[in-house]
Parts: sequence; structure tokens; C-alpha cells
Amino acid sequence: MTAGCRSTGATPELTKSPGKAVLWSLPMLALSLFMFFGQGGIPRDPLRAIPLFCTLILVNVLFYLMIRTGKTDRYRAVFFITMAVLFVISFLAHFQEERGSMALTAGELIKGRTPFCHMVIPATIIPAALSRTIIFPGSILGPYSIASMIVLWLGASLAMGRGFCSWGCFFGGLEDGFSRVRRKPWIRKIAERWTYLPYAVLVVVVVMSAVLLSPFYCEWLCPFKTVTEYFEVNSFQTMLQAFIFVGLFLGLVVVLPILSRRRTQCGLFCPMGAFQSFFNKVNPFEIVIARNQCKDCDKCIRECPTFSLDARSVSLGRTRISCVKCGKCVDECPTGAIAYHVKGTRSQWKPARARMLFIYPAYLFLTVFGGGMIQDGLYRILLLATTGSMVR
Amino acid sequence: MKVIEGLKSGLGYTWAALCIVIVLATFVGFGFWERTLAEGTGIHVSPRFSGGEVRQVTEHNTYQTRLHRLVFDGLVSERAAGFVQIDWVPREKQSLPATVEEEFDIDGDGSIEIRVRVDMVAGKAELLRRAPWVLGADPLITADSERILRIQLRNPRK
Repeated sequence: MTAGCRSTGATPELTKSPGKAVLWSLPMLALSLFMFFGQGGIPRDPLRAIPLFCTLILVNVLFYLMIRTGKTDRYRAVFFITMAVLFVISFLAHFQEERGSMALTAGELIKGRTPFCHMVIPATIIPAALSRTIIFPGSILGPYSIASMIVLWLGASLAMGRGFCSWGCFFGGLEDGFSRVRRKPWIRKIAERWTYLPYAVLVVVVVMSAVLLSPFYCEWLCPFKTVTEYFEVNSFQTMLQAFIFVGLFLGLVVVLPILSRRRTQCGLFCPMGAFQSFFNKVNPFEIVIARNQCKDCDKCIRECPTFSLDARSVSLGRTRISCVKCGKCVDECPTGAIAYHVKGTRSQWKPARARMLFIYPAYLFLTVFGGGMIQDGLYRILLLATTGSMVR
Repeated sequence: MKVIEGLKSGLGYTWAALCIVIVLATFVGFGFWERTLAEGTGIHVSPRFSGGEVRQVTEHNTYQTRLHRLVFDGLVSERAAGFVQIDWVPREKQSLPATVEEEFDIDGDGSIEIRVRVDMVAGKAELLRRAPWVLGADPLITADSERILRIQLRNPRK
């Protein structure tokens, strides 16, 4: 079947009845109960138990609404943004507790206590392949370790492809949040050539990291160092690094998303996102556009947060490779021409089934991965409210 | 044609359903996958960060001196510049002496290449070079109760 005659049907009909929506939400409730209580049971400390129950309720209410209304991005974004904000709170409190500071000292680096995040993964591949070493000052096993992050990232990538960027990345929610501050964008048009920049950044980061044998992106380009941990400023170099981190954060994660209503760090800069795009090719899910229902209003092109739709891709009935499967275009399309699709299946057949097959693994990943961050973030806020400090 | 379409659909849905299994397996078997990845691939942290394997341990009354191997590791071959790391680690419930002065045969050839004097209180190290390929010392690093010194080297084999 050619893309030009694809037809997806309108918004999913499956869950118009509340009863059916409850039934479809029950497996997620069971899975989240299993994941949250399976290992440790109910904590005795009320400051731990309250966040656990709040997270459980939040997760399942949002999922029910997602099923009931047929809107994906609306409720995903609530979870995603909450996760990002509480991740920052949890992370900073954790390191304040462990080290007494957000600053990363030379001692911490040598001791391998730097948390490994997914952004480093592309930079580590060549050295790991050639010398079996990871060019990162972390630890191989244990909490925040290299192996743990790679396992999580691999699982997410196989299940969602670049969907990881909107259903798993604990940084993405920050700019997702800022991109929703204004109702209308000030910057309406960003030239298409800028959307290739992440691939150029990816090449530079991979090559420079292999040459220098150090994580070039973390050391020089990561905007999120501003809200996680930064190198102790004790030289001109570390001062310059801090300046770059803060500049990139303010520009790409705060100001540009507010002005353009787009995720500009993800869409115009992130090398991990560019790398992750290739995983859309080894993933069964995609977004398709029914040409026979499309009115060419271009709303999806304007709304796509990661510049993954343009006139050409819409005319071909599909997104660009950079699609993060957030579902915003699906939610926004006035004619219901855009839908989730399982590769290999007929496009006009059961769009609700395809959506359900995608959101179950995606939301489950978000629940388990993000649920812990939300719980700890809430715990830190409760700790602050009751003891005056986020640190135990 | 219909058979092929049906087969493609079946495979597509199976693949899609497997994604739920993948996510569940990722979390349920998390510890197993983590260990399997680490042990199966044999990956380790680059010695440029970890300091490399400890080659020699010298016991003192209240502390240990750990001399690491020379690190000239490159991507495919040795690099022209590298370093050697020395750690001073206090024994349990002990502390490091105020000053330490030691000599090291850093390449294991039987001759002394460096002499180091460390002022633990001031956090400063003085280096006396006895080999031309010893370049200089980095600032002394404090990590927990340990002191760590990296000495920059030129690769004598390059």
C-alpha cells in the first residue's frame, strides 16, 4: 500500500464508554502496583508512603484520562513535565546529601561517583568498541551507574525508538514545559536547515570524544549541567564551561522553547536525540497521516515540537525520522488524519489498537522510570515542608 | 497478496506486543541485565578517569600508599603523554600524617624516577623529578579522607 492512500480513521472509538476505559486502564494499574510495591512493600515512614501513593494515583489517573479521552500528548506532557521538575529536585537534594554540594570536584571524578546519563551514550560507543573502556568518570555497576543506564536506554529504545525522547528522557520535560508557557509562538518559522544541526553536533561529539578520550558533550555542551551538577569553578576553563552550560540552558531549554513553542534543545541541538532517531528504524511504531483525510491545514507542522513534520513529509503521509512519538500531532489534527501505526499492518485498520499497543509499553516505561523520580522529588518537598531542609 | 499482507500484519502486531514484554523484562530483570552487560562485554571505566590498576601497595603505620600503573592508554595504541596516579589512603579510624615523603619507581625498572613530598594539611605536593620523561604534578586531590596525586608523564616509548 502506498503512503498516499493511507487512511487511519478518526480519533479512537474504543474508549468512548467510561467502563471500557476503566477496563483498559486496569492492566496499567496492576502493573504499576506490581512495580511500585513488588520489591519493598509499603514504606513505614509516612514521608515516603505519601509520595508513593500520590505517584500511584497520578500515574493511573493520567493513564485513565489518556484512554478515556483518546488524547495522548495532553496527559503524557503532564507526567513528563512533572517527572523532569521533580527529577531535578530529587537529583540536587541527593547530591547535596551525598557531597554537600552540586559541584563536581576532581575527587568525585576520580572516585567514579559521577552519575551516568543517557546523553553520553553516543560518545562512548567508539572507545567502548575499540578498547572496551567507557570514557566517563562513573562506575560500571550500582545506582546511577553506566551499565544500569545503558540497560534502561536499550530497553526503551527497542520498545519506543526515539519515543524515548518524549516518554523517558528526564531532561526533555523541562523544555516541553517551557514550550507550553505561551499560547502562541513569537518565533513562527525556523529554517529547515537548522533541524540537521543535531546530526552535525552528534558527529562532532562522537569524533571529539574519541580523539580526546573524554565525554566532550558533558564537558563542554550539556545545557542540563545547569540544573544537575557542574564542575567546581576553580579555573578559567571551568568558568568558561559553566558559562557555556548556563548559556545553552537559557537559550535552548528556556527562552527559545517559550518563544517558539518548540522543544528546541531536542529538535535543534541534542546529539542523543539525533542518535536516537536511528532507533525509529528498529521499532514497530510510527505516526502516519491519512492523505485522503488531510486538509493540508499545516496545523501538525506548526505544532510538532521537534520539527518532525514538514510539507514534504505530510505529503508522503509520514513523519521525518526525528519523530519523538509524543502524539501532539495526533491530538491536534482537526480531521483525525494522523494516528499511531504498527509497521507492516494495514494503515486504515484499527488505529486505536496501534495507539494502545504503543502507549502501553511507553507509559509503563515512563511510570516505572519516572515514578521513582516523582516519588523522591515529592519526598524531598515534604521533607522541606516538615523539617525545613530537603536533605536528611 | 492477502496471505502476505496478513503475515505482515501478524508479524507487526507480534513485534508491537513484544515491546511490552521488553519494557517489563527491562525492569523486572534489571539487576541481571546490568551484570550481564558488565560481565559479558568486559567494559570498564577508562583508566584516564579511574587512574588504572593499582600496581604496588606500600603499608605504613597509619596509611597505605598505592601506586597505579602508568596510563598512556589511547584509542588504538599508546599516547605520547600520560600520567601515573598515587593514592595515600588512611587505615580504618586512622588519619594521614601531616607530611609524607616517598620515592617511587613508577615504571618498575628498579630505579627511582620521582620523589614526592606531600603536605596533607596544606594540600600541596612537591615533586622531585629524576627522569626526563616526568613532566610535573597536578594539584593534590582530596577524595573523602584520601589524597590523590597525578603526575604527568611523557611516554618514553614514543
